[in-house]
Amino acid sequence: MGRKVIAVVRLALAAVFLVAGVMKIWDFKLGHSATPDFTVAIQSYHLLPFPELSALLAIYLPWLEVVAALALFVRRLALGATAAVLGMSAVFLAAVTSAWWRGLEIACGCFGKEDAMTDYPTLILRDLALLAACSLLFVAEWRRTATAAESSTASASPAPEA
Amino acid sequence: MHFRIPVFLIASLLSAASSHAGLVWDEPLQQYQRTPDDRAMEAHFTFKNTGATPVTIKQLRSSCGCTTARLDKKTYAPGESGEVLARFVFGDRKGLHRKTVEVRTDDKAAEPVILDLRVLIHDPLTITPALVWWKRGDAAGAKTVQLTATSEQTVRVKSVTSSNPRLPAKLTTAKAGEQYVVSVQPADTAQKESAEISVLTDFPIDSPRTYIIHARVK
Amino acid sequence: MIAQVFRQLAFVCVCALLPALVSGAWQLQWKKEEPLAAGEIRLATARQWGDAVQWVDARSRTKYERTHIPDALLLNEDEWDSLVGPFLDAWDADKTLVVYCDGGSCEAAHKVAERIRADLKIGGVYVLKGGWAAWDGK
Repeated sequence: MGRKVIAVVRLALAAVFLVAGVMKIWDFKLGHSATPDFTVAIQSYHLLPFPELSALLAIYLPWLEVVAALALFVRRLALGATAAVLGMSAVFLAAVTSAWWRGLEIACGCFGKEDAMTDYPTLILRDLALLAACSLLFVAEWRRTATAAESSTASASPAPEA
Repeated sequence: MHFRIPVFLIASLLSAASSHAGLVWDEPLQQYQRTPDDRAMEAHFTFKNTGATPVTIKQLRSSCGCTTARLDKKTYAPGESGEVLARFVFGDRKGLHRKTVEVRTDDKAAEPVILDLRVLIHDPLTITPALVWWKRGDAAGAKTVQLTATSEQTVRVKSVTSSNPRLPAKLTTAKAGEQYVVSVQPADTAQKESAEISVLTDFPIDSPRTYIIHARVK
Repeated sequence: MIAQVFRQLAFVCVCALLPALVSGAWQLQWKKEEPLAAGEIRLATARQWGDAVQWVDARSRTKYERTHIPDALLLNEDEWDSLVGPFLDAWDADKTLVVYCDGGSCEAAHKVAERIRADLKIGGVYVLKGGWAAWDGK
């Protein structure tokens, strides 16, 4: 796998999650916190049992997106951060698919407040692409960490079958 | 049909003066009176771009699924005029209704403008109450419904017919063309009953309206 | 390796928790519960009333047919004349009516509640604060 490809994927994923996170934290158009709107967006999926839970998730999830996006560039955290974005993408895809399945007419809430109702096929394709990019990066990170671990053990203790 | 003329149009000079450059609306608040027979109405909200730069209308959002807003085009050059056409379909609405359309432009500094359409859907005959009901086992006393024509319009009630013989209705004229009383009395209240009582009028002449009084034994 | 993934993941999650706590605390300061408008009740209150509540769906027929609160009756102003008869047949005088619409200011629900009170003279009609968006699917 080309290093350049991985670098581009990493940059793109970081940008997507950073933007998505920030827009769910602060509504720049209207100049106030975007949390209430995002809470409503989460509630409209009708997946969480209590409204309070939606509010907590609305506060926490955007920050997780932002922190994970930044951590993608930190060598010692990149593997965990990739796992985080991979997990989030999977959850988003599942939420959107289930909303489609249940015939809900909702706004995605992916990038803060949206006026348009969700166009499910496009959205699911977008989430699938996101999931694919995350998986790609995860495999790359896994290999990199494995190689690093091997080389460090190799240098620390003599190989048994030398 | 009737009441076609807007009762009064308030040109909201205040709001026109307060919005700096950009779009200036001639009448962002419009009031009308209609009857249910009109079924729908259209209001024209005209505006002019008084600024030095073109303005693009990004979004029109109406407060109700019953109201649609339409534009001929989106971008307006300096000095150019245009209009938002708001169409309000009444359905079975009556009374005073306020429908708004929020207009957002590409001018980030400008607050979104709220176009305000207020329509009084005025029924020439009011029926109070539109429901008479008894609980099972209640005394089977008569209950009355007042039919009142508005002062502007004479409405004659020609007949009342109940769909259920166990809930018969009787019409009395208090003042012809203005005030009638319908009295409904169940045969007994031993079992659940349901009746729709049709009130036939002579208004409007070309297709007289029938109103419904609901009667129930629950 | 797997332990490493989880260790890093946990670290990322905890890092996100810190600003979230700050932001949450800040939001709680001003995000007091919105006051109820006249005739509105919260979902929690309707829940307490339990079976004594008759839900009334003031949204459009299309939305009602797609999904609605269990046992809710459809009654909107678009089709009032044809809906009110069946509504009254199903109506139970011992239950409290709670009307809901899509969400937001719920003008449609308030109008329907008002008309139930004024035209039909049925008392004890409430509007669900937040409408369908506040409903939690149970």
